[in-house]
Amino acid sequence: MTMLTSLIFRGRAVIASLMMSSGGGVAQPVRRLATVAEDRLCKNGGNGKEKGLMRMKPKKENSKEGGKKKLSHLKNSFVILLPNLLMKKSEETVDDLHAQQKMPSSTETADGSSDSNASGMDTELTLGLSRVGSCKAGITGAKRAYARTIGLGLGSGTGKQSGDTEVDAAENSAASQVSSAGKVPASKAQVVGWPPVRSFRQKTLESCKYVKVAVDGAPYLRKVDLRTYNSYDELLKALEGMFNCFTVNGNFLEGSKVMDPATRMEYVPTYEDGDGDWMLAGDVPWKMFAESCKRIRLMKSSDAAGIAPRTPTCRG
Amino acid sequence: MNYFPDEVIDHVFDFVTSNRDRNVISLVCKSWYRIERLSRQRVFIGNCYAISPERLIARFPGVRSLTLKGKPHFADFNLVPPDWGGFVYPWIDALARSKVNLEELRLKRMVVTDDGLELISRSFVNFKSLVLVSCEGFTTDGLAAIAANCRFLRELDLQENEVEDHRGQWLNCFPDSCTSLVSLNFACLKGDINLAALERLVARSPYLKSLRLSRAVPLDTLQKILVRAPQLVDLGVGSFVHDPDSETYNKLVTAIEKCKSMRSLSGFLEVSAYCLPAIYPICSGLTSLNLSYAPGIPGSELTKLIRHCRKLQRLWILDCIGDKGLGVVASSCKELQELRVFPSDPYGVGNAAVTEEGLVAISRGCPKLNSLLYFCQQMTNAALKIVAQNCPNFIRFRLCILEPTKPDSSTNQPLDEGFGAIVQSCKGVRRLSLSGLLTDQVFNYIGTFAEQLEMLSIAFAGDNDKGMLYVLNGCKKIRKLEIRDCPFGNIALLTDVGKYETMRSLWMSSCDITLGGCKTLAKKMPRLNVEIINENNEMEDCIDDEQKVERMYLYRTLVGPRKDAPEHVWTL
Repeated sequence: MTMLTSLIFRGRAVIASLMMSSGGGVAQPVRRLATVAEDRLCKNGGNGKEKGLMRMKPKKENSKEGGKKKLSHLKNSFVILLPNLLMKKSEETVDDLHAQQKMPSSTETADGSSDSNASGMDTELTLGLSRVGSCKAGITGAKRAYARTIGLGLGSGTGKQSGDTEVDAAENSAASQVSSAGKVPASKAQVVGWPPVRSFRQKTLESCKYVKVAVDGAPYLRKVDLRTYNSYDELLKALEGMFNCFTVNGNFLEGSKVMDPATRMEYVPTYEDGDGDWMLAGDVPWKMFAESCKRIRLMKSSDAAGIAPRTPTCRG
Repeated sequence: MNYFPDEVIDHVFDFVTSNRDRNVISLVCKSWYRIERLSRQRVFIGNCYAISPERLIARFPGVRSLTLKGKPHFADFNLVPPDWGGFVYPWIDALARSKVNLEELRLKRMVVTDDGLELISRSFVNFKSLVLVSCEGFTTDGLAAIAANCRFLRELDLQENEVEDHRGQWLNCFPDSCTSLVSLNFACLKGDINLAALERLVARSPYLKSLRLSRAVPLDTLQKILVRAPQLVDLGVGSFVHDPDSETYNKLVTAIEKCKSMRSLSGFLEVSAYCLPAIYPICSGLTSLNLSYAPGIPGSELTKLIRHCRKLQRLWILDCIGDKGLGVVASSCKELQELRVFPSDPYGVGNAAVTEEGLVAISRGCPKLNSLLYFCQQMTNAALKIVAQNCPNFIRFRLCILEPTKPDSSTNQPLDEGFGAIVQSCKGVRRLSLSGLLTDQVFNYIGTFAEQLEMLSIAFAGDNDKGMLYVLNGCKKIRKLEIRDCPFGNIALLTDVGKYETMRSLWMSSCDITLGGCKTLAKKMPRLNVEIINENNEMEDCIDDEQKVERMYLYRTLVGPRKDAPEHVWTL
């Protein structure tokens, strides 16, 4: 294993013990939800009778009231609605969300069970995200529930593979909503077809994500396209390749001119996320990292005191 | 004019090129109708289901150039199922069988198949120009057929299509005898390209004026191409990444300097900012610059580049240019007429975005601005009023505040007054897209002042039916109305049903109209197709008139309900 990757794993172990369980742990339920949803779809073949994770069918009484909103669906798609409970990190956020939830009447949300989400794992998941914006005064009757629609692309045979990217993106957005609770307000949830950017353009821009990579001691930075990698290992291997010249020359390493693994400078991979915080790379799932990473810094481990181990061990 | 023989009238009509004018001419009298229809060569059909290919051919047997549009505009944003329709094959088939001398086919939002492309290539001997915009359903095999068989091909222009790339050798299929290319755009292709074939093709195309490359074409190939084609007027760069100290890069700089005719630059689908200085020499002549697909260029590099482009008339850019960058645009590009600012991070937390400040700066610096598409973080009424005052010449004004229903960011009021100022000041506005927090009042303004308005896009706006009625009653020239997530119901829909025959189409999704309302409309207006798009059997259990309709698309037509609609699209 390379030095860098060994450091990550080491670092991760250290960090995990230091970290609260919230960050890493909460990501799990979201992914499980997606799997549960997929199972249900596969079993039932999307026959329309499926409740909960399938499209929300308005009940007759609600449609008579006229209050219920239908959701747009893509073929074979279903609606994943995040339980708000996952955002219970900060009281402030919860209050905001509850306030937003309560403003539209319960018939406005896609499914009646918006309020009591404590169980979270209930099959009738609701996002219960109400209309955004701080100024609701003056708006009568113009309430909408937003939901994220994900196309699984099951059986929809266009060559778009939109299903895959959208599911991943959904997981990411779900996960990133969860992990950055309190920072990302519920109003940033995505609405189908909004903002009105051509899907071709969205896909094209999505497929590139160049971030700057800085290595402590190097004279200039590099850029890598995170989308071309599928895991931390791949990224770190590529980075190692890019910055190999420094270790070989030894010019930029303090006191080390030899490419001897035992004395090579140690680097801790860190990155700046969307909120501007510097994080240790490796904690969150790769996709989530790739979405939120804005730049990367390979920090000398001597600078990363207390976070990463000081002495390297060489693993084969 | 009746004293002149038909040939003379025919000759006079040759000078009338606008289709709208020709349509009016054909209404004057029967003989003019006859002469006009036999002499018409360019036909534009804005909705392929409004008429049939047979009737087209019957009326205009001399058609040489056909433009067809298929899916509704909101299909761009995934609001229309992929199999909804818009198939071009029946058109090609009919034209081929009637032995029409088709030379040009321009399609937008249609489903094109390889079979269709092959049929074109074999049926029309003089076929010269194929332009596909936002189409899908074909692969590079279809392109190979076009390349191989269209001996006089001048233009192959693929814009933002979903093309399945079979990584074949379609570029090789241009025969050595093909030297007529004027325009080649394959920027939207994702697969590898035979670079040697591309170089040879460019080398034998002395008339080539427009070339847009895909991401698979690296910088060194670009350099070789530019050496062969310094006469290019429009260039779309594929990959623009290289070591700026290399010989290749220096050769590129030299080659670019010789491209004195270059007026339009786009692409940069992969780019390193430190390579950009290579294009500075031609910036002073550029009238059009599209960097909206160029990822990761920092705002500072963008502004450095734009400072050189003093003759720019059209600029498409990402919002990472920032408000300050737009200030640089405003001070450098005094000739600017069209500006589009796209979101680089549509779902992001607003890191790289523009606000009302950027737009105000542009309006102050660029008084000739007449076309705008602006995705921004926030907007204010005050800013819109300033913009309206500074730029009274808007023809297209499309504003998209990324967060739906966001109010004026400084007063928390709806943005009615701001948009009202725009329509009042810009008397010629033809296309308008609204966003932000809006009440019925904005529609009152639009109905009152937007006399030339032809296309209106509304989302998450309004309070009740009055809003929609203001527009339907007030905008005499409205042709396309698309509405999503607004509280407009049956009253608005049914008050003036005759209006829809004066329009091309109406789209309403996630509004308050019911199935019963749509049925009533369909019954009253037999010359409209009222389509309900109903996926996943949303309505299977309760086919009850009280049920709200999720998506409705109606359009006028002379040929009745279409026969190619999928199961979940009902024509009432």
